[in-house]
Amino acid sequence: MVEYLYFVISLLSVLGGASLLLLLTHREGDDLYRLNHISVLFLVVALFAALMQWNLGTRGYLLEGLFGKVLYIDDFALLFDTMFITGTIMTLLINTEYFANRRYFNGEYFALILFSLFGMMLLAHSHELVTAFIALEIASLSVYALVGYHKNNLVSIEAMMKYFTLGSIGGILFLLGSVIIFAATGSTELGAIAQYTHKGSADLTPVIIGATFIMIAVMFKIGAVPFHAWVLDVYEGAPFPVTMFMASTFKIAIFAIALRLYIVDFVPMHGTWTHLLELMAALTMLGGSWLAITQKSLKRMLAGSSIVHSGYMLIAITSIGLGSNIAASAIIFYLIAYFVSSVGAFGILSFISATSRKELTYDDFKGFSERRPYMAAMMAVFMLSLAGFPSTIGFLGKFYIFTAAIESGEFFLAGLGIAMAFVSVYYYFKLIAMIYFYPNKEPQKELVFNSSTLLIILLAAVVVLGGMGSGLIPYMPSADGFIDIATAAVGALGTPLR
Amino acid sequence: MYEQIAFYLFSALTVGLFMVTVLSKNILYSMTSLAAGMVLISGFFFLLGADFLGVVQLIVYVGAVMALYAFAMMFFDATRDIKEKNTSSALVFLLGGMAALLLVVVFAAPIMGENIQASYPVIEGVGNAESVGMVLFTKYLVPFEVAAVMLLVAMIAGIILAGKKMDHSLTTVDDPINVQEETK
Repeated sequence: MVEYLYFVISLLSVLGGASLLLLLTHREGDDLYRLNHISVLFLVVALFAALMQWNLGTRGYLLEGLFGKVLYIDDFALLFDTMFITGTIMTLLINTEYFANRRYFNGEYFALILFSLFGMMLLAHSHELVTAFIALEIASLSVYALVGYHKNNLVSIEAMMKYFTLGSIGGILFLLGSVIIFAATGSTELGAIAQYTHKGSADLTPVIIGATFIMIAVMFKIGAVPFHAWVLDVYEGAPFPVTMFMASTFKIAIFAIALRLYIVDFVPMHGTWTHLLELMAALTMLGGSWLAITQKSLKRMLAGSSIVHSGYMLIAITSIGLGSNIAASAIIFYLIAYFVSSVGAFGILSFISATSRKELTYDDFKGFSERRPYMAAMMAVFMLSLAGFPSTIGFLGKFYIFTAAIESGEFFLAGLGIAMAFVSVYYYFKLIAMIYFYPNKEPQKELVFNSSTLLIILLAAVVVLGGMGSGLIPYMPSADGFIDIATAAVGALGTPLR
Repeated sequence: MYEQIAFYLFSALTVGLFMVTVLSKNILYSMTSLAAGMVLISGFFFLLGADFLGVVQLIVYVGAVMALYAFAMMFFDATRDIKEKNTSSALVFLLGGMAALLLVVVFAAPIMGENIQASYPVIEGVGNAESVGMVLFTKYLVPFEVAAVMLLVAMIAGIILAGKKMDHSLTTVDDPINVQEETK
């Protein structure tokens, strides 16, 4: 029984780290560098514990005799764990300069980030709706507080209130959906729900109503178009490290439970949602593109473009519903691709804005290639990947998604997606143009090379390696490796009982 | 017989008290009548045999939520009447009335329906609180324990956002968006 604890070392390490950080914070004058290093230490332990479990192929409930069927261990959860921990480590390490230059940061910042990570990891492991709700709320509550961290800044406070109010509604809808599903099926456990829905004879109407509520909550969290009103303002108002954390790590967190539900439990109801999802995917891509094109601030532009990326993921979700075989792996591959690229792009932006107080606009990047040539090259790589340029991981992500869409006969959505990918070339390449084709106005600064730079270069390497064929470097997953990981993760969910 | 008398008595009192809550212009009266109404609602739960829910209703709504309201009220001048600003009272009545009607229809619908069976009939001989406890500490042990982490996070968030250095303004030193706000 004790050997099962091996599988939750990462969860416990994160929770323990968060609690320890709370004990270490003082009322005033925390040594933020020290706290940062302590939190990264706990995260590295968690990451190693997660990586050690790869290829073991473990599947099963954690301590079923003690806890019941609540926490589940499989490759799917493991993949999400690894991504969450990596994203958090990146957020903490790339932004070491940012919080050192701001007086409003204090020790609890690290504790909250670790608590949020704990919530997300618990969400990936939860196999039961009440646990999922509480895990989601732990993650969300921490992020609400982090968004409003600069509490004397009116924009930040406005962003927090907006996010708190709308996010709470999303959480409540999730809970309402769970209650209705419980009323219909008599259980909140995903396995029992799957048995009920696949029985064939059962009346699925109440389950459909409940599941629709849960899906609306998911749409809230990923910012799909009718529910996107908060995205731009919240991303803009939050401090940069928090925006980075939200846009990359927190955004993919909700998929950990949504995919579990959608791929396994809700299979017999897929037909109900096809048209709704098609409409939402189209609206999300169009609306997000419109929002991204019209922005001058880079933070808002990336926020708008993250809505477009949600739209692409919705295409894949529609394709899963229509019975595409590769759509499920495609969406996980896309999540990896989007995660790596957006961590990099936001990382560079927050790294640059660490010492300046200005809001970054396109104009600030004029002549950037002369000031910081390496950073400029990395930024170009991330922009290419986000736009879906061949030889980057973003291209393969889009390739799989559109292949899945065509496989399932969604020609219109695939066409619209490709058109929107071309539109996205405008707002992403505008930045590249600003970097390379305009003269430098500001004086040349001293080239700094520190751990943040190294991490960003590492991310850019993953972006390029993930976009190219198979193993150039042994033990390092490339394009084939990533799609294998995605397929293994989907396979772990169990074959849907069709 | 007694149950019916109790039911109608509680209903009349609850409706009356909540009317005071809505119609009174003094925040102190509103709050007190709301608390009293909550106590009477717990009476309904006891009547229905759901003693656990009744106790929870008393502890959570009357004990915790009303205490919170009372603390919040202490920051205001409670003796002053509230001036309401309604731009369109007809619209308010229309929307409120529609919502109320909808609720009545939703809750009355099962009475009209036939063949209603309880999916989860009450188990005889097992106390209410007992069965809740059984489920809470076996099947839902993890969510129950993890809820503690959630409350801890909420508390930390509250302290961070409202607590430290309230007198110390950071507005002038940090991010630029504020500077624009100030110069306006």
